[in-house]
Amino acid sequence: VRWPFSYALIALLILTLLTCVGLDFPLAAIVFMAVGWILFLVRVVPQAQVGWTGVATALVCLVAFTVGLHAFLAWLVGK
Amino acid sequence: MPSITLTDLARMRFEALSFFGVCFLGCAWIIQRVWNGIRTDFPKLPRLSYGRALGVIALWGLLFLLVLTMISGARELMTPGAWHKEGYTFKVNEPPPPVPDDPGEAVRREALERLRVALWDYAKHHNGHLPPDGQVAEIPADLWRIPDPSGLRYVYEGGQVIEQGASPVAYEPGLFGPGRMTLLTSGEVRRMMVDEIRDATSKGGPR
Repeated sequence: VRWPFSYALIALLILTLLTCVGLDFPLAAIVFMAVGWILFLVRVVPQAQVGWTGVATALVCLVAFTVGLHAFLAWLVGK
Repeated sequence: MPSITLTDLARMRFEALSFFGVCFLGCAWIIQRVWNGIRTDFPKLPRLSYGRALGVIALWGLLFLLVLTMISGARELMTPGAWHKEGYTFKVNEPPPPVPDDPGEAVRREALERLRVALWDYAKHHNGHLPPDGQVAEIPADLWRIPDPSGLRYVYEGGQVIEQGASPVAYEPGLFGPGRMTLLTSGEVRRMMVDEIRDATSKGGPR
């Protein structure tokens, strides 16, 4: 038996027993840490608003930075 | 059986932490792919494992935290009057004492308007004559009080007739400064200075 698997099995057993006696917050905390990001996105994304001027600024900056960096590095390596 | 579970707030905190964790892992994956992609052009670069990419992201995050803390600290320190020196260190100035609960001009005007409505209603049933004093039963006692915790009453010039001239009928006592909200026999409610009220009142001016 691999040790990590054994530890995980023991931890799961302890969590199950804790849940059985009414202490379900450790298991809930683990579950929410694992899949809570989906619930977070479901809750937050509908409330978010896209700032299109900011998006446009970011795109312009990204393109300018990429072109500038490419030109600089091309000059640096002598191509 | 008792059940100890997460509160809604704790659940939301865990959701936010989970989202942060996913972003962290995602950024590390992107950095790893970019780094190993650059290796095709620069073979001398070592291969970056996912664990090391996580380390890079953590260090980068700490660096940003340090820089942002320095920036925000510098902004705090450079705010004029925000800090005062105490011994060898600086401390944040205490916030100014809270302003006393002063009703706004709109509230004062509204309170006097309510009194006007009651007085005018009284006058319509008494041939245009306003009450002789502020103790008549037809007008609720609350309407005679200014909108202030002190419970002071309006100064009332009784026995006048409505819509004859524009002399003060009721005005605020000297609690809100020299400018007092005043009800005139014309029905108008306006802010008047003490001297104006004194001139317009035949009974000796404001009290």
